[in-house]
Amino acid sequence: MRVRQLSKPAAGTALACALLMGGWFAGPVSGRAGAASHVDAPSTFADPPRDGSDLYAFTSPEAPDTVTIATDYHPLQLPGNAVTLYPFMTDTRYEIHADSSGDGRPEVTYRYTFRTQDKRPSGTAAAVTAPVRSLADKAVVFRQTYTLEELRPGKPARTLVDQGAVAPSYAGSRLMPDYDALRKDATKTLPGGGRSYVGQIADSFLFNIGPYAKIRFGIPLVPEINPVSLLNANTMTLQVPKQALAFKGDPRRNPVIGIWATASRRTVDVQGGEEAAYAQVSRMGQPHVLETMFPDSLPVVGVPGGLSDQFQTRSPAQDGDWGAMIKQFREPFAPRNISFATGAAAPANPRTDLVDFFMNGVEKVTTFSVNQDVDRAAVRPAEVLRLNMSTPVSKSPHRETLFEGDPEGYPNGRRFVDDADAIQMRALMGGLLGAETGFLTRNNLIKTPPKPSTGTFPYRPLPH
Amino acid sequence: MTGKTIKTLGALGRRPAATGLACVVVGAVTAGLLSLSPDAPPRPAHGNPAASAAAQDVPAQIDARRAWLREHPKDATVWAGLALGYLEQARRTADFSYYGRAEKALKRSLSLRPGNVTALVGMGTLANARHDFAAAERWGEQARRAEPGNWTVYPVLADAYTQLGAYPKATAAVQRLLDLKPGVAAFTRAGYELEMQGRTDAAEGALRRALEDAAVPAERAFCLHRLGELDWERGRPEQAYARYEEALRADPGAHAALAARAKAHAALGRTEAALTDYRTVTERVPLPEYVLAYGEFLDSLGRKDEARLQYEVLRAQIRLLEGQGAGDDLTLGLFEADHGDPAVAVRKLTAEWSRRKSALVADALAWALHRSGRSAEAAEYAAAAAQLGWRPASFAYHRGEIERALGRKDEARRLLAAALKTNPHFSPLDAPAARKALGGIS
Repeated sequence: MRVRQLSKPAAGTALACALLMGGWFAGPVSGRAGAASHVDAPSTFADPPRDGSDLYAFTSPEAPDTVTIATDYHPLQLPGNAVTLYPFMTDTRYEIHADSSGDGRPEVTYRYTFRTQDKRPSGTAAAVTAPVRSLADKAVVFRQTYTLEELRPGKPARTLVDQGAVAPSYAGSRLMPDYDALRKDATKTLPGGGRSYVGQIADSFLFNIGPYAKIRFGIPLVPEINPVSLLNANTMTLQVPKQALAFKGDPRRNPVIGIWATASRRTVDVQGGEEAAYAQVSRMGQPHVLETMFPDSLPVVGVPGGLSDQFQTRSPAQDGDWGAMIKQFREPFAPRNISFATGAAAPANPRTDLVDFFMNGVEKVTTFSVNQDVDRAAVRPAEVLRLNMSTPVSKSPHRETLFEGDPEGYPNGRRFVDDADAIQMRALMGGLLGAETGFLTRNNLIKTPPKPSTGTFPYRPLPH
Repeated sequence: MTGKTIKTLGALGRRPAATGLACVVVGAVTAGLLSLSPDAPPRPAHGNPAASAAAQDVPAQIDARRAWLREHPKDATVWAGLALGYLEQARRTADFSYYGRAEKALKRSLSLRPGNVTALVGMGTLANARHDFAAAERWGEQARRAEPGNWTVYPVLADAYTQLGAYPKATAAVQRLLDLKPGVAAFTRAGYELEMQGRTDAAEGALRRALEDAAVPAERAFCLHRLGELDWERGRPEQAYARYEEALRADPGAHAALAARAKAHAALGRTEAALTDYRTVTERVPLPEYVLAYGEFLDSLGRKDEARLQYEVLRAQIRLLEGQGAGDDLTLGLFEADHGDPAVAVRKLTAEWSRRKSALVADALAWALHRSGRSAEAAEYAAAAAQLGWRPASFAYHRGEIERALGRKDEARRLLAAALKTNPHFSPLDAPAARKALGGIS
């Protein structure tokens, strides 16, 4: 079967190209341009401004009593120019949730909402009409501001940022000779400690299409390139004190948290309610989980309404009861592909080690049993990005983290330098069961994110 | 503010070739990968017409799926996808011979993988298209039991329950769809739902949001046509006309917008333009409702012979549709009541009422009873039709005439005036009749 498949690549390629082009060009026509590099659920894919592409969480290197949580949206933005603009949506709540009790429900949620002021002359696209070095400049004619609220169950919402400025999409070096200055204008200090930056960045995703092809399709010898390496994304990068995140405000006794990010869109109430309801349309926890574990996750070949679409609308609290999702971890499709592409032997199903890896955490490191004050009986399995806030910042971080003796980084939070696909590939091939997996990824050519992080908040590389 | 936002999004839409280039690069890479895969082959998109996710080139998609299935005849998902492509094509071209092909493909899919939700949704969509709403409900409920979190189930259920007159269930299905997948499929259905509740402004708001999301010409045209209909029903033919025009600019093949533009031309006194549009649309897509509207317009111009010819076409067309399992007893009933045999209309519509208790059927049955001289019985059904918040001019006219026949003058006067106030142009034959009747009530 494989041989036959491989013997007819030309026709297949042409067909797939045609289909993909059809799907991806639907965007620009509609005013929703671009395509998610981090190919996601079939439906979210069609909606880049609300398509969460990456979630990072790590102890801030130069402020170790804080955690930085970065949520990136709308990937595949073009390098800076005067005719493209990638605003945040004003009918959407972009939220970061942190669960510190382990029940899959947030103890705290940070909610970003946006407003737009558009005074652009008609027919122009850039956010500025003349070169600017400051967001206060009158030549900034397209502005977005945001409100950041902290929500805790049973307590009134607390506004952390009111009318915070968003750094507009980079319009090129002529109109924005010093984007870093604009970015400083768009960085806010939070009451009680912490900071927030909202704007454009160079995409930080350490992605390598070569190994990904092995995981997803079982194809060896695909050139190693990072397709997002020249593209930008939008970010909400948030730094908050560890006390704000930890259970009972005590990061020493309760250092483990579970983080996920959602985008919820204002919908319509047809049942007579006055309040506009919000519907969750995007969810992200650990990197590339859908792409690596859900067979129906790709655009075009994906099934609208299928598992990946359903994942986007669900809450981690429901994960433990969602047999269809657990099955993806117990009986993963990827190890067979990797075996085919590399010759390595895959462990036999069922893969309880993968269920643990994705839904319970690493024993004694990121499982909620580490937290001394939580009710163990209430802890639920959930696909979230776990972080042990007591893990010190590594002096010499390694991109393959726990497999290479670095206790920090994915699956213990996620840093920009972590190679999530390589780590998942090793886990899929039994790396957590003691199998030798280093050879699978050792010779990868891409070892770093496309553009290095800056040393201080917001850490994100300036847009291309 | 809202207008500004819309403008912004519009401006963003005209993004230049650079975005396309990015798509090509990434697309080519992914496409290459897909085509080489041993296990996840370059399967053609299965699409979903309810969502219009696959609203690009439908014939090309059908061809791609058929080509795929020649090599992989056991791929249940693509069989279901092929059927959904046929159904979308049937909807766009009104060529209902696609229904038979869709059914065959769906049965194949279900025999390969019994109970697969894509095929169940396809069966439900097909049943709705064939006006077999009870069957659509069964398929939709079966799909919902299998995957309650799958949003593609809810358009089928919403449409089926609406047409069955099970309005609370329809409302719940639309809400569930909105909560799972706020997008074109949900917002357009919300528009219809709110319109039926009599919340016309909210309906317009929902349709505007659908329009903002509409990704392809066919979707845009659909939303614009529906927005035009809201204007039309509120007696604003000029605004409605502009919407229909815009819809046709977006998608010249949007036959519903063309038929609607014909009636707007007529209302605005542009008889020749109206006749041209009616001729074009009935030649291209002879749906019974378009042919009936054309015939009635000719009738209203005193061109009785030509009108009679269209009525003959209508009868033939309905027989043809019945042969394809897609009868339209509602249009046929209204036609028989006005231009044929009211007794036949009563028989057809009574049968239809036994199948579904929708406001549209109640109104049509009331009218048929009245035209058969059974106005007292008609009054009950007319009241049933008015139970929703929805108040189209034609309902008020029918009810007004029934009240007039029963000698209840005040009520008749009120209803006839309401019909003309809601939409003075609601029908080329009935609006003048309403005016005459109103003048005649002493």
